[in-house]
Order: sequence, then C-alpha cells, then structure tokens
Amino acid sequence: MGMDIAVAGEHVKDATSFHFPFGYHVELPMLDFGSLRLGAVDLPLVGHIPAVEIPLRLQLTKFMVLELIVAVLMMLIFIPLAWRLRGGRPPRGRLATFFDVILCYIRDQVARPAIGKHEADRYLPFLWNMFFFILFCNLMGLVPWAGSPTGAISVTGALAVLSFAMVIGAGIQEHGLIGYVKSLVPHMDLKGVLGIILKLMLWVIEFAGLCIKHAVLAVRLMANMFAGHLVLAVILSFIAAVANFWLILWFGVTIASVAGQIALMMLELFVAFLQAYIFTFLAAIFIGMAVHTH
Amino acid sequence: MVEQMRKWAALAMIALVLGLGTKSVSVAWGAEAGGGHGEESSVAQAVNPLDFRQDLALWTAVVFVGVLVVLRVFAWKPIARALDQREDHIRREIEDAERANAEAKRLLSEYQAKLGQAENEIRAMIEKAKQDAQQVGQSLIDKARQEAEEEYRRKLAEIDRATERALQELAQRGAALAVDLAGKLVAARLDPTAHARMIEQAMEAISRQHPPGLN
Repeated sequence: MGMDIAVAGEHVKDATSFHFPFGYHVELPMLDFGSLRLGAVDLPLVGHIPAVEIPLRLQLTKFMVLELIVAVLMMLIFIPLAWRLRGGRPPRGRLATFFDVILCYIRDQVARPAIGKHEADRYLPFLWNMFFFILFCNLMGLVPWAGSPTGAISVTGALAVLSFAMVIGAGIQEHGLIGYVKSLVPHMDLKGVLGIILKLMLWVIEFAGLCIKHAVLAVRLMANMFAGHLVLAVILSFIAAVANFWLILWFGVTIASVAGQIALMMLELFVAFLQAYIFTFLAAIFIGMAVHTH
Repeated sequence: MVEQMRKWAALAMIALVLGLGTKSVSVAWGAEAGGGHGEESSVAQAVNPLDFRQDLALWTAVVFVGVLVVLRVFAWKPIARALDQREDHIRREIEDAERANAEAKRLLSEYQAKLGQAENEIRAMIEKAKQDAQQVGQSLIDKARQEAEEEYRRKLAEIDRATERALQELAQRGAALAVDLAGKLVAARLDPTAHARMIEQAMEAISRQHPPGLN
C-alpha cells in the first residue's frame, strides 16, 4: 500500500518530464545560462567578501510548462474578450458570456463588498488575474497527463507572497508607510511606557497574524488540490494493484475505479472553482482590511 | 436496448484502456521509485507536499506577474472600462425608458381628458340638434296646420260668398223668369197641361244655366 501511495504521489507531484500512456516520456530540458560571477570586494566595517559564483541554470519542470500554458490560455481568452466587450457591448456567445458572468461576479460580489466600491476597481486587475490563474492551474489537473501546479506549495506559496505584497502595497498606498505600520494596531487609549510596550506586542501579534493568514492561504489551496488529485491517483492505482491477480478481479476493480474517478472528477471540478474563489475572496478581504483600517 | 449495451461496451473499453495505460506507467514508476531507497523514505519523498522549491516559486511569480502586466494593459483595464460603459449605457437606457413611459402616460391622460371632453361636446351637440330638429319640426307642423286652417277658412268664406252670389243670381233670375213666365202666361191661352209644361221648361232652363254642385 505504501508503494501505491508513493506511486500516486509521484503522479501528483511536479516532475522533470511528462508521462504519457504506454511508456512515452518527454524529458524537459535544463536551461543553462552559465553562471554569474561576483568579484571579491572589501567593504569598510563589513570587511572582505569573497567572490561568489551563482550558477544560472534552470531545470524546466512539468508545472513550469503548465503555468506557461495557463499564461498563454489566459491571453488567448481575455485579450479577444476585452476586444469583444469594448465600448460596453454585451457578450455574444456562450464562452464570452461564461467569462463575462465570472468577471462581473468577482467585481460585484467579491471585490466591491470586500474593498469598497471606490477603491475596488484599482485592485480588480490583480484579483481577476489571481482568480483565473488559479482556476486554470486547478483545471489543468483535470486534463489527462497534465497536472495541477496549484498542488505544489512552491506555486501557491509564490501566489500567497504576491498577495501579501499586494496587501502591504495597498495599505502603504492608502495610508503611507508610517500610517500603515501604525494602522496594524487598533487604536487604544493607553498612556505611558506600558502603553508603548503593549502596542508593540500587539503590533508583533497583528503582523504575525497577517503573515500566518497568507501562509494559510497558500497551504489551503495546495492541500485541496494535492489531496484531491492524490485521491484520484490512489483510486486509479487500485487497478495497477490488482493487475497481477485474476483477470476477472482486475476487470471488476477497473470498472469500479473508473466509476469512482468520474464521480470524484466532478467533485474536483467543483473544488477547482471553489478554491480559486476562496483564494481570491480572502485576498480581496485582506486588501480591504489594509485599505480600511479598523 | 442495443443502444444501452453499446454504451456499456464503450465504457468497458475506456476502462480497459485506462487500466492498461496505468498498468504500464505504474510499472515504470515502480522501477523508478524502487531504486536505492527504502519503502518508507520513498513514500515520504514522493508524497511530501511541503517540498518547497525556489526555482518553481520564482518561476510562478514571474509568470504570474508577466501575465498580470500584459493582461492589465490589454484585457483587465479595457474589460473594467467596458463593464462600466455597459452599466452607464444600461442606466441611461432605463432612465430614457422611464422618461418615455412617464411622457406616454401624461399624453395618454391628456388625450383621455380631451376625448372625454369631446364626447361631452358631441353629446351636447347631438342633444341640441335633436332639440332643434324637434323645434323646427314642431314649427313646420304648426305652420302647416295654420296654413291648412287658413286655406280652409278662405275656402269656406269663398263658398259662402259664392252661395250668396248664387242665391242672389237665383233670386234675380227667378224674378226675371217669373216676370217672363207671367208675361207668357198672360199672352197664351192657358190650359192646365200647357201650364205645367211651361213651368217645367222654365225649371229646366234654370238648371241648365246653373248645374247643381258648382259654385
């Protein structure tokens, strides 16, 4: 059983190659740009810094390629859509209407309630971009032989860090650096040294909370996608597990497994939309909290 | 029935192909995973989702920001603008429609009032025309009656006059005849038959000159 989960995990994880059926593999190249050499310097106070050589090599992985595909897909969908909607035209066609509905939903039901009508439009591009990037990455997991980049903490972590940066940026833009740093602590009528110490401690807690919220953002998305796809892979691996037994058993397990796959795929389809929505919704709420201090 | 069986057969075939595919792949994975590691460590390595890779994270950030920068200019901002324009357009349309509706209602009530007024006027006109007609008819009838009465009186008077004249003439003629007759009677030898015949002739002569019913 342990081996099965290892096998399933291998399928859900990032890889340096694409696996296709019947043993076909596409190995992804290593991009080698040589290395960046920084000469030794002598600085006052710090002293001597030895020369360093930073290798500029990048091993392309499956998730990187899939992210590029997602980027291209987004451009292929939304640039023509913007052209078709120009001047306030109504959307024509099912696909255009589908995306139009989602765009309007995120603007009217997510961004504006969370951030406020006047400020929301400034953060709308970021939220739209976030929602569709995550959604498309999630849906990539339902494409045969592809995978879900959002099932890796490196990907969701990067997205959470970007969201964190957006929140801090929004706060600083709205209140200035000092104002935002101060606004993290709720206003309290405390005087003297004790007040300063208490406020300082509260500030540390609030800031840590902000960081934790974004870490949770990353973990929630990753865990949902990873777990969902792991379950799919495990159920599929049952077929392989009984492959060396009687043919009739293998046949029965195969049919049951595929039926389970279909049911879980539907669930995954729902989860793909739900998690993209939750990530975007929480990012909007965090931005709103930075813009409107308590 | 045949359709159903065909469906199930197709499903079974798909399951079979998927099963074969997984079987061959899993063999390859098994070979990979088995090399050099114990089972537990390979499980931990394969399944650990918190395996953070900086290059993938950096790649993700770069791709995301790249997409954001490109789409911000070519999609997100134009779309946001288009949505606002659409909203404005719809709001304007609704306002126009409301205004047109109010205008139409106003015109309708105005015309209804006018129509009611016109109806009243027409009713009054008809009433007046009826009255006039009645009056005119009555006066015509009165006039006709009056005229007829006058005519009747005139005729009556004429008849009276004619009768009077006739009586006068008769009296004159009678007198003349009487004189004449007397003369003749005196002149002739009178026997009773001749006497009677002469009176008869005289009467006939009178009636020939003035037939009864005239005048």
